[in-house]
Amino acid sequence: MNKIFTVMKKELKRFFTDKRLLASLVLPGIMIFVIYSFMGSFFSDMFGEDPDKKFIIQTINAPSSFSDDLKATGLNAEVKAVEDKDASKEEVKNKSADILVFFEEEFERKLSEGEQPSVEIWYNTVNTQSQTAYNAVYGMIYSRSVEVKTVFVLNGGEGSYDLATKEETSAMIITMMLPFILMIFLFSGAMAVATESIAGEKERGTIATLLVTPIKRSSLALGKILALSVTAIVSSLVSFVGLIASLPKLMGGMGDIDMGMYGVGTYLGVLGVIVVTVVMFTVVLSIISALAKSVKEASQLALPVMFVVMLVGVSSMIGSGGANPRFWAYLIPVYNSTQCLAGLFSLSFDPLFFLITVITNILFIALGVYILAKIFNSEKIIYNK
Amino acid sequence: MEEILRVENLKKTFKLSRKQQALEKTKNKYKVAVNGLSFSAYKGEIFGLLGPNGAGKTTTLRIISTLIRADEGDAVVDGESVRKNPDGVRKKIGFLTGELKLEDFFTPDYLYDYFSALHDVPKEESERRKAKLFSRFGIEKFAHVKVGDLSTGMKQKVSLVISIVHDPDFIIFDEPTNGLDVITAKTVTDFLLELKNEGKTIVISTHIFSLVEKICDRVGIIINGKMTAEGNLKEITREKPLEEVFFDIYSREVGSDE
Repeated sequence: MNKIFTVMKKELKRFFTDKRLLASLVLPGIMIFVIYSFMGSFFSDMFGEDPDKKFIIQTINAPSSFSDDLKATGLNAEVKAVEDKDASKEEVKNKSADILVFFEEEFERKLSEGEQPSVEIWYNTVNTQSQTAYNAVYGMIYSRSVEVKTVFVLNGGEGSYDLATKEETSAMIITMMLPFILMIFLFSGAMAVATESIAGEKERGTIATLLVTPIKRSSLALGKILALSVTAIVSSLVSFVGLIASLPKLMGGMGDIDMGMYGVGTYLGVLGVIVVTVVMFTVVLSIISALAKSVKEASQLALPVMFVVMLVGVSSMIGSGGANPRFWAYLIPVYNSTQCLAGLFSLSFDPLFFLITVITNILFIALGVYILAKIFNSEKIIYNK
Repeated sequence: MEEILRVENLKKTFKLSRKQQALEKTKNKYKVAVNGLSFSAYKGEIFGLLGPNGAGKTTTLRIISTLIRADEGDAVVDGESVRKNPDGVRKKIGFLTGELKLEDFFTPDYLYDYFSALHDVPKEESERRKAKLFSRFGIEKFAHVKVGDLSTGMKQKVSLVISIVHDPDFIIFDEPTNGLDVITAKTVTDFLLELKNEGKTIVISTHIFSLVEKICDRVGIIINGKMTAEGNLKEITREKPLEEVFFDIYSREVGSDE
């Protein structure tokens, strides 16, 4: 028993007295808190609902109490009685109205006589406003039915009440998942090759062999980054093709996924974002690798960055509802790539934002190469063992 | 005699980490590794920097080879200053140290071509020189075997050859025979003498007295980053064994410091 404690004590001492190991234990928790807090305020500022923005709810045959009942739910809505059901459905479909609530004729009379009148609500899943309004009104009507002890027939008709097209639904599901998964794959692909590159050379002692040759430090940095980028891009493209091929099966449960709806332009756009993003990841990871004392330390230092990439990747799920981020948000690396991919997959591609994303990332890459060349000139870092 | 290397008042101080302070048993945050070092090396000679571990030999050679920068002073290699034109110096020197390692994944043949290209050696000249050097060291037998599968002696031969792919006139060897078996060590020392006979200038660092006595024309004794004696081997030893002379100086210097 004593020996168990002796071994245990030694192992715990190893973990809790090594500052770097301790940091790797504590850092994820701190990172989650900091990044989620930051993202929370960032997204509420960027995508948060405008308090003055009203939900547009169109009704047919609505009982007189409908507007007051809706107000009681706290939903800031503009209720508009309409007559033409098809025209209203078209408005929901093209997002100029959020939902259409259709009450059966003489709804109140039928209700008072104990009948089961029907209520139908048409909505559009690719419009987050519509989803929110649908959930609120559906909940309100359901509660009312419980209250009056009469079961309404809620959306009991045949066919779908979701007015989004199959293509739009597919695009929404893909936009929610693909940029996030893709960003993780891109980072992992770069991490597999870049963390080892310079730290490994330092560890093996081969970096000094290179540094005594007349090669310019910037040429060395650029040569390494280009080679690593090509490798990481190949890895990323293979992952991307695999992902695209498996997506219809992976997400089959969420509806029919048809990747064929995207044209060559979309795929070329995605390819462009993948290339600049992978090269940028490679540059960042190469810098981390150059600063680290060993490959192990480089991998540990890369983990918090991976956290950031994952958490920023989540923004594609939040931003896919239609609210587009502001212009300056496309100047933020990683975030801009995620949003660009989301834009491409949601079929709301904006060439200007794509261009800003590519140029911003290229500028960051150039800055990274400059920093890496400086690191190669820094004896403190190269001989930091 | 033509002066190929001139080292002038070289100074280098390192900041110590807490761990290093504990190891050195000092509260000083800085360690003076090289303290006003000056010496020269002339064409066609082997100059030996002799000193105990931590004396500042490797730091001096790293400054000359442009791997690190001096805080003060300068080193001029065949007219090129390490401070003003490090790229120019790198073209003129060959540098080999026990720390210089080769990537296990590649073969000696591939690495030779790679470093030749980095040194801008024309293809034909590179091939001719490769054949000569590989034959001289028997590398052709394992030229296409990955470095990771070679013995320590084989690796050292490959490192040696790769450090002189560009046929430099000035060569720096930091502890050239450290960790080598006697046969490889003899191959290296014989080759250093061959290079000297070809008119190359060589600076080595070592703590092995017999090596200095065997191959060096002139010697500089470094203790605590200072040059305590420099000159022709015969002038310094005056018929006494080098080891005895060294310990006399060491006792005097360390005693005077403490």
